[in-house]
Amino acid sequence: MSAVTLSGISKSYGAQRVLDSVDLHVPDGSLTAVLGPSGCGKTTLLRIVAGFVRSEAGTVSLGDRVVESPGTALAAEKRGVGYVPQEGALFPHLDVAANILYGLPRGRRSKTRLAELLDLAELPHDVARRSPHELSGGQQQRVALARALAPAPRVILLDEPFSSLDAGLRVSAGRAVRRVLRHAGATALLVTHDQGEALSLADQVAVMRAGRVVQVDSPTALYAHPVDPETATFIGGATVVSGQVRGGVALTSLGDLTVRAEDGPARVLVRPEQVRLVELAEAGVHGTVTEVSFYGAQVVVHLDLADGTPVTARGSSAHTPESGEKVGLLVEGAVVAYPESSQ
Amino acid sequence: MSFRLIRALVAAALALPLLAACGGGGKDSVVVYNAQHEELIDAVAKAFTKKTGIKVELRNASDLELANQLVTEGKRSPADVFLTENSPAMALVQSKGLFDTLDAATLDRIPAAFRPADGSWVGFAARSTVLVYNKDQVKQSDLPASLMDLAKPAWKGKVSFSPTGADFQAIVAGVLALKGEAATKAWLEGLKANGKTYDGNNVVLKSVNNGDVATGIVYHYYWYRDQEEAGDNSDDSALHFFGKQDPGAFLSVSGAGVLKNGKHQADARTFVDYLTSEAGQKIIADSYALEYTLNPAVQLGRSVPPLASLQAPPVGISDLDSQKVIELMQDANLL
Amino acid sequence: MTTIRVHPRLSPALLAGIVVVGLTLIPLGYVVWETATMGPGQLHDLLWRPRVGELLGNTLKLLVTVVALTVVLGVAGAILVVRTNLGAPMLWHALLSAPLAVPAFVNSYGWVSLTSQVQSYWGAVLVVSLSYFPLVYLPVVASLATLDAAPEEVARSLGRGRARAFAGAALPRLLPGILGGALLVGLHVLAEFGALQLLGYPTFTTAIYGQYRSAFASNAGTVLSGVLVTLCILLLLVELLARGRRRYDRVGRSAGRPPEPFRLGAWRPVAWAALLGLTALSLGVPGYSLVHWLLVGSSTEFPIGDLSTALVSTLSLAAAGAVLTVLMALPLAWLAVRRRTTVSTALERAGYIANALPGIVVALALITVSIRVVPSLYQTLPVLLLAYAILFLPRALVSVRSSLEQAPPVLEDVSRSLGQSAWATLRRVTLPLVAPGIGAGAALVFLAISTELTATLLLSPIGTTTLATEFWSNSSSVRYGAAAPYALLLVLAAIPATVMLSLHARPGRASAAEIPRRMELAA
Repeated sequence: MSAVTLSGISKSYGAQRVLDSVDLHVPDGSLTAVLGPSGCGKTTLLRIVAGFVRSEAGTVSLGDRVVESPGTALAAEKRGVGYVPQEGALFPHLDVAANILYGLPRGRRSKTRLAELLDLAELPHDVARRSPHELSGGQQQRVALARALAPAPRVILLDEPFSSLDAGLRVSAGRAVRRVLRHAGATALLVTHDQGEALSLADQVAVMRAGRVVQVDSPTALYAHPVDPETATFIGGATVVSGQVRGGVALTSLGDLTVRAEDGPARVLVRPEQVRLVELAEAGVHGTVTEVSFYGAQVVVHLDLADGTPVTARGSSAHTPESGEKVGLLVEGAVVAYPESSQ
Repeated sequence: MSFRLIRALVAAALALPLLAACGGGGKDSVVVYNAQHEELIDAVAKAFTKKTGIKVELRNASDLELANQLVTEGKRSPADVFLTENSPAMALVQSKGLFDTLDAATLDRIPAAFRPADGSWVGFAARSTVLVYNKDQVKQSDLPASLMDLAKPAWKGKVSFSPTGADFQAIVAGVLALKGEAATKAWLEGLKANGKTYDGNNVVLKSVNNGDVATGIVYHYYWYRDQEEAGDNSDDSALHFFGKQDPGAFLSVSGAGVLKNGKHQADARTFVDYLTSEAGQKIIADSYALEYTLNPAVQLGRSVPPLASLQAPPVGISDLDSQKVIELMQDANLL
Repeated sequence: MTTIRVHPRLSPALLAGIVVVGLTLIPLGYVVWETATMGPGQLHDLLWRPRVGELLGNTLKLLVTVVALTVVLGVAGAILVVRTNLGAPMLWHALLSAPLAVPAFVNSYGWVSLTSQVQSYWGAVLVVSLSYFPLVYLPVVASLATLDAAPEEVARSLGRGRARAFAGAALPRLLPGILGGALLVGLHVLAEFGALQLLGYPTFTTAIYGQYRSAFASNAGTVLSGVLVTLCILLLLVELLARGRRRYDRVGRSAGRPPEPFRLGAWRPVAWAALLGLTALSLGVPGYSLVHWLLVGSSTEFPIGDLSTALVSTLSLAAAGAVLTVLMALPLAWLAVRRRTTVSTALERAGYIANALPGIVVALALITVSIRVVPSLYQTLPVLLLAYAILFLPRALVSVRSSLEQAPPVLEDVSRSLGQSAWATLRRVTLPLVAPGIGAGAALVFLAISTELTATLLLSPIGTTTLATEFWSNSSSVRYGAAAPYALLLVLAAIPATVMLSLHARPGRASAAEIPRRMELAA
């Protein structure tokens, strides 16, 4: 396995700039998620790394080998890049065993290797003779992964691998895939539009927007310190209110909140889990509950402040208010503020 | 399964040219563009090959189809010999100068009336125009004196013919040669109004015999042939020979010519010579065809009235203008 | 996420596609060019004559009546088989599909050889309708079989009776199938030559043939061809307009319950009698006639030599034609599936233009063009094979296209990422996936060519006889007994495609919108 380094990658289709000088380093053995909304260019980025699409500018290196630069491009089949597309894309005319062993030279397509790969992908051995359409979505995904891992590639690329699975399966499939990748010691690049998937699975998340990488960070750093309000709202819901920062305190309609920011007008980001609902008397800020969504252990409460600002709070369902009820609001912990001028 | 199928298809495709080569005769065959009845010429060709060892390849189609094809092909034509049922197609090819003059020995066998003066081709068989009529529907006394009468209102709905065939077109050419353009035009218009059209003289014969229509303009041999078989399509009908040099007694000559641009000139001449020889004519006379042979040494005989008794009108054999006939028939909306 | 592929350069596939379309446009181009260069005076004279009016009247009269009759027979038959408690639905389905196995010209032969009564307008209507009603029946069966009970049940819950609920909620969803079938019948009627010639009913096709036989490639024939092609194109346009927005309203495969069958009650024997009558006319008469003439024919002599020669050359022609047709369909289908651009869409559409080209027009055009432009090819096999390819390209296109859709490009990407070269990918992934569809397309073209009459009649090279041409030369000279063995072989050749279609139209196998396209495959 080897690290993947992209620098200055650009690509246009006609007048549309799909990738705009993208830099990204995927450390050896790590799982990096490229997270962005549809149409942000993340799939194109993946296809450039795989060698299916040529870039217009910039270089791609696998380890210390440059595989893509303006002058040269190594053919896809020579890059040693494993590829797991959406829905797995298993070869429908081949059974599971033939799918998994497809990329191995004839001499190396042994029963032992097949057994190893099935084990690696946590698949029961009796699926080997089945046809792809006889497998569940999660199984298909793992066969696709085993197929990609079989020739021991330098890096594995996963293109929205869980998007076709239903919500319950998605989480377990994701964890299984991560386990398999860890086990194989693979360097992996995963493209997804699902922030939960990216945060829960990846060692490193690259957020893309309109053809640019706007932030690369570990999931926790990304969540705690999003680079701008757009990123912040994209990574987990958040209430953004305007305020004035004076000496480490932001004066907002949600009260005076602790921040680390320069003085001046700012937009202040408050995560739903920071908002605690209390008795009216306990807080200086009051709100009216407009909607309550009950999730068992947790509850999400939508409120309007007196000035009409909408706020979202998330907390234990032990304290579930009624719709229309007036409650007090407290914001816990430090918040993130972005100077107004930066917008 | 599908791979095997594709492989089989490809194999078959590759085998095709090979197949065509053995099935279609080699390069050493005389190519005959044949508009005469296939069975008849096939029999003659077989006997010819047996006698001379020269192979014959037949390309069968209709008179004018082949004549026009020869004209369009010109020098590129693969044809060595052209055989027709009727003379107009021969006249068309003759007018384009595509025939080579035949050997005197061949020509001399056939009376001068049945070959053009320039010797570019020769008649080898002839057929007489007749009116076949349903015995239940037409009394002998009501039969028309002339072919021209069939255009009269009295015959409305009672006459049939096959306008797309070269046979009928030859008869029209005969009428044109004998009566001129205006009369022919009027006659065709009358027929269009009166007549029922079929495709093929066999169909005309059958329809008359069935009583679908009272009479039909055909050649004699269709009726006699059916009589010699089972009579299924002729027992309820009879033939009316017009005679008296009426256009309705028009005798249509089947011609044979050797093409200038053929690649097997000598063999082609041998074939045409054989066709007019006693041996060749005898095959025709003895065949199912029942067409008149033109070599005086061979008589058709059987139940058919002798050639000499027909009182056919005198028509210049090279004067039959097929193109004018097509124009007139198009004008009369028969084509 | 969709990836847009842009290929501005002239790829080999595009080049091949342009060549193929160029070839398929020869007949149309010939007709247009010839009529355009004819000079207005001559064109007017040839077009504006009573004969053209008479043929137009005959053709339209036949077209309208046959389409109406086939729609009635096809829809009624389909409803009886699928939606009532008629009984023995599979048997009736087989019997109502089976007329497709009897080529129309063989059916006409069956009738004409028994009675000359059918040599009339109503005779032509009867015989041609009996040959073509399955073209309506099959798509309607497919639509009915995929209909879910829910809309009708909703209609009934809103106070409609059973019949009104069916008419209001089910019938409209059958319309695409009915329209598609009716269009096919219409195009077949316009292009039909053999049957109408035997039935003695003059239409444009028989008149064009008459012109060809009398005057070879005459201007009069070209003008008639022009009118005929115009009619075909108009018919396609009419159907396009009639479908309107409904085109996209596909009747989907539904996993829902089938509706309860209508109870026929006392009408059941009547329905049986009606269907039995239909079967007797559509299968019984030609079947009886064929057996009769086979017996008569075998009493004289059985031409086993001629028969096998014709059979072998028919099979060889069909095989070579099928290979050529599929090869021609490949670039067009490839472009349409993999390189969707305005140009490739236009090229693919142009491939379907042969749907509007009767065999007689294609044959006549190729004769004239070959003799004038490439005389060395005139009267040779390649021209005949090209005619087949032009005529049957739409059938191959439908199959090849859908087979290419079975092999999405992502599979090739995966294969490349697994270290396989482009060639290895083609061999190991793409070919195995597309081969069954391509094979099926080739098989359908093969079967269609084996029963093709018109183009074969005009274009078969010197010395080449096929089942169809031998059948024709015998039956058109009233040698019915001699024609019988060839007729039998032609029926046998048409059976596989009929079975394929009949099975395709069974419940759940294909959506109603697909069926009319599939019908083109075999009919």
